[in-house]
Amino acid sequence: MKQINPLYIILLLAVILFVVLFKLMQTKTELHEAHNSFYKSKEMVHNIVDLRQSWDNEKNTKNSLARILKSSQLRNAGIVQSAKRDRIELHGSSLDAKSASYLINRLFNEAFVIKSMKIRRISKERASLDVEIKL
Amino acid sequence: MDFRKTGSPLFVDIHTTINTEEKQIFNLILSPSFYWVKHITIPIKSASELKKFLPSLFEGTVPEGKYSYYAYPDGDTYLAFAYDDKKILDILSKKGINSEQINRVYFAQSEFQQIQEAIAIDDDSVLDIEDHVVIKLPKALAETVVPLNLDEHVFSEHDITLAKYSHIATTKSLIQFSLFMGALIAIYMLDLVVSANKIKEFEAAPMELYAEHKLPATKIQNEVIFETLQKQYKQQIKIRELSSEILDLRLGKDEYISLYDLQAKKLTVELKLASLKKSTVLTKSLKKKGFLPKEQYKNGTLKLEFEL
Repeated sequence: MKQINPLYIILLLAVILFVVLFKLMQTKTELHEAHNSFYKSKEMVHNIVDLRQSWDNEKNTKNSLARILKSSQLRNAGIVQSAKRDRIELHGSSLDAKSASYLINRLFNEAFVIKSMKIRRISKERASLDVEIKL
Repeated sequence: MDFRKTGSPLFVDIHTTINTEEKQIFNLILSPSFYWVKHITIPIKSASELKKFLPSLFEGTVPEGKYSYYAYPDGDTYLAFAYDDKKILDILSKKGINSEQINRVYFAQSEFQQIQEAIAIDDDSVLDIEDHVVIKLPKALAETVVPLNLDEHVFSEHDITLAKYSHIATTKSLIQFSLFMGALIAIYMLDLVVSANKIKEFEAAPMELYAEHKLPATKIQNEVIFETLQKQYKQQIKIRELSSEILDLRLGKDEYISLYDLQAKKLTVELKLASLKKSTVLTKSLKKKGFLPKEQYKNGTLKLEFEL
């Protein structure tokens, strides 16, 4: 008539419960970390998409720039546009002050990635301009 | 088929002396001195159903203690037993029988209720039957006595188990506790499995997100892209803020910006100014707004260099 001491059974169950609880706590911490990591990744992806949409969008850059250069203020300003693989270059050897001011204003107010811009005053009414915009 | 080990039959009374060998296994028959027995007539269909009423049926008729109960049908009535496991085991232990040596335990009631004559259990006492109940009597009260012989005894089916640890916990309370703990463990295990699955889902989800937005498959690659884009964005904003400040500078009638040269990491601005004093005023106003250019004034021209 071998019998197990109930204290052993109670102890065994308590140990199993403790192990399960310990493991559960570990898993909950991991879950919390995985949850946070996922939402951080999600936020990062949305930021990348937003930044690309507004600042790294080749199609938008080309369209906006074409629209600006076709505007009545710049149509006859003598601005030469040349497209390279990763950038668009604008050159105006002698822009009048009004056109130059309009162009600079529009370039700074649109989401263009301006790599370089050089404006040199030629006379009171004229200036030369060179701009590189990233595609 | 019964797979339990067999044991030698042994009758035990409180006063009998037993000579046992170590490791000898017994099927014990307990003398009436070890238990209380009652004939019960009650309209109940089964002994197991009766079992829950037994504590109240014995209440007041047995001394205070921790009892286990047993019952089996006997014709139209039931035979009910109350016994103290620990007390019996303690007595058996004092007689040299430990719990490991006990195979099965029977009541004298179930084993000797068919006897025709009194059975001598020691020099002074006998077992006899009175009103269908096996009782222990002084030998002097018995008319004819036969000696106890268990060599060819056929045991009944009414064996009991002596609960060795009934003083710590009853089987019922142990089962209840085990069920409670088991349920608790099962709930936590379930939670564990669900949480582990959720972790897997959270770990797989970014890959789907990257694929959906046509981004590289790893987090590190995307972090690099994000940092590059953010750096570019911050630089472009800074260029615009700085340019806005420069173009808004208050210049005199014959003062003007002669050169605006924006490069990858540097912005150079040259201003034609009327005096050194004006140059100092303009530089101060820029510094007040948090811009710290390198400055150089020469021949009426102020050259400012801003790091981007």
